[in-house]
Amino acid sequence: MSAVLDIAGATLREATPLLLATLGGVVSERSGVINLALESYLLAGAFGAAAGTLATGSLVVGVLIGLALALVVALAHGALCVYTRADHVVTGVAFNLLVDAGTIAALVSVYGQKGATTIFPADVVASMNGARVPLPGLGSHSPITLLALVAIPLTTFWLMRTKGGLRVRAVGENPACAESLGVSAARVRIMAVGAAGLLAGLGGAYLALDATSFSKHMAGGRGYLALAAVVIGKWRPVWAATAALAFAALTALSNHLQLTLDIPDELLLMLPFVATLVVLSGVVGRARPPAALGEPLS
Amino acid sequence: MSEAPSLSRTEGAVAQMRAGLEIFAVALVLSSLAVAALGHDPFRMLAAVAQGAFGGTAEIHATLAEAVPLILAGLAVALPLRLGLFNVGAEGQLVLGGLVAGLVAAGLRPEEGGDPTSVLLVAPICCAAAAATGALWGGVAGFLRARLGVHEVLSTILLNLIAWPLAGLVIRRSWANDGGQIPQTHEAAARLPEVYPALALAVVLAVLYDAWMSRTRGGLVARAVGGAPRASTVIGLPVSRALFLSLTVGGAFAGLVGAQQVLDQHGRYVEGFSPGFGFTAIAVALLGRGSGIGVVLAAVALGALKTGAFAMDALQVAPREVATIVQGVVILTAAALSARQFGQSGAAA
Repeated sequence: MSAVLDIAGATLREATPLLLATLGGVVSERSGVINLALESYLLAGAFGAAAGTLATGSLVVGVLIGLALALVVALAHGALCVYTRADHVVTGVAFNLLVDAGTIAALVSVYGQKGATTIFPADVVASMNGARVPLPGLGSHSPITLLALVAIPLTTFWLMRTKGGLRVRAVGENPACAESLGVSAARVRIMAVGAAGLLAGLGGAYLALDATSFSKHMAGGRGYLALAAVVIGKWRPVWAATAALAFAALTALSNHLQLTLDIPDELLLMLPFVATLVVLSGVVGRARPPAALGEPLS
Repeated sequence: MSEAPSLSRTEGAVAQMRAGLEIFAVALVLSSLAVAALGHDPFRMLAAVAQGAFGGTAEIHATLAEAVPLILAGLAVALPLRLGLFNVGAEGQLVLGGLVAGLVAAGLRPEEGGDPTSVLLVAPICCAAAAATGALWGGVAGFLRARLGVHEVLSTILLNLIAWPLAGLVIRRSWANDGGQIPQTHEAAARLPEVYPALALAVVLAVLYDAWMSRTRGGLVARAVGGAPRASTVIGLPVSRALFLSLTVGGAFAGLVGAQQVLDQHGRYVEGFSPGFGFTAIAVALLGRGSGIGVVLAAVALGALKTGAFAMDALQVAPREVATIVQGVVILTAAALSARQFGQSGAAA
């Protein structure tokens, strides 16, 4: 029984960045912007949070700096997709390359080393541990984990039941029609991508806080898994979040098995990606993406 | 569809070249600004890069050595691109191609005291094995795209993420592992002379690719599928098969990078041999506008940038990651300036 609870607790930890990036992906894609750049938002959030915390000694300020950096990256990406008619996929891949190299170059410039920042000082770590919230049976968790869980119903409600959410979905289905009703499709798309930046940026900040430092390539493919979760969840927030939770559970389970069985690590590293590819193959044919997904605004 | 892709034979080579140069120029200005923002002097940097890339025979040799894998990997991205598919998976394809080439090359070593195996035997076998492996890995993405509608970008990214640990798994447990600090195979049975044979092969393949694309029936189908996917379906062209084959053949090009790295650069498979050739290849293909000659020129330009960046790093002018930043800017500039020049066979991502 305790093993099950351990795995459930580990699932929540694994799920936090994935859930936030997935919800960001849903919002962005429902507005019609294909989002391959989630990986770069995660990295920007993680780097900003670590650098900010190290510079100011405050976790809250650090997380805010992480959010700001991820927002800047996302808005730049969004503006490029909306105003230049550039291909969303190509720009997304380019942003991932840029931010990955940019964080490494910044590591060299600021900390004089390529691999990672220094570790947070002991008092910061202590205050972080003090802020952890105990969940019955599941261990204690970062407040960001709770935010990620709360973000599922909030994002769903906002997207499906509010005027703002309706506008996002309208622009994703038929931007010309939305424009004719007085909605600025460009603004809606940029704001949706910005929201994705904030959500994924928070996920990235969680990664840095969890590791008490930033290290290069820290997002580790989570942005791509998140996008796969969006597609598998057929662009619906609750289903996409469920897919993200399932990936996290799979990772937690395989990490647990590694301790008890003698399985090569490489196999465990591959597992979530193989599973994603298999599920994706079974699901995609039947899913219908937003009609104007990837279409430039005229 | 703002700009209809040209189906003509010549495709305005001069116009293509000008577009490529335009992209390169804009990207250079933008990245200089980015470098300045990071606190480095862009002019000193450019001078250091130029000196490091073309300053002498050794430098030019190094630049060409960097360009060869980029030509092959660039073709791996360019071919599917002409059909409106975006192959982000060249990296995984070339890593696995290199792994298999390394295993085959180690396996062809003679018994103790036997005659050395001729390179004329080793090189073709290794190339064929590596190309087949790359084709297999690319073919998975092609099958998923053509038959099940899985977007090739997602599948190729996932296949990359699977290829890295898979290669590690195989090499760590292989008979051919020579037990070094970094996992690697035993030495290859034979090595190619450095750079020039592989360069010749890469350029010949690029020229053949152009000739095939502009002068054959298959090339016409490819261009039609890329330019007008729906019309191609309606008039009965084998669209699914073309999509599948483009990713498969693209994978074979990428696999050859692995063989080239084993046979002429390292003399064996070494884990982590690729510094991201498959990703730079995206910039190469976009900068080269999907044409073979364009790919060759773009590969030399970005290869020079890479060698120059290493020299610049050694002189402590700026970190070498600046080269990757420039690549990113090249891709973005290409995307923004030549929006939607290639066909869209839109599917879910």
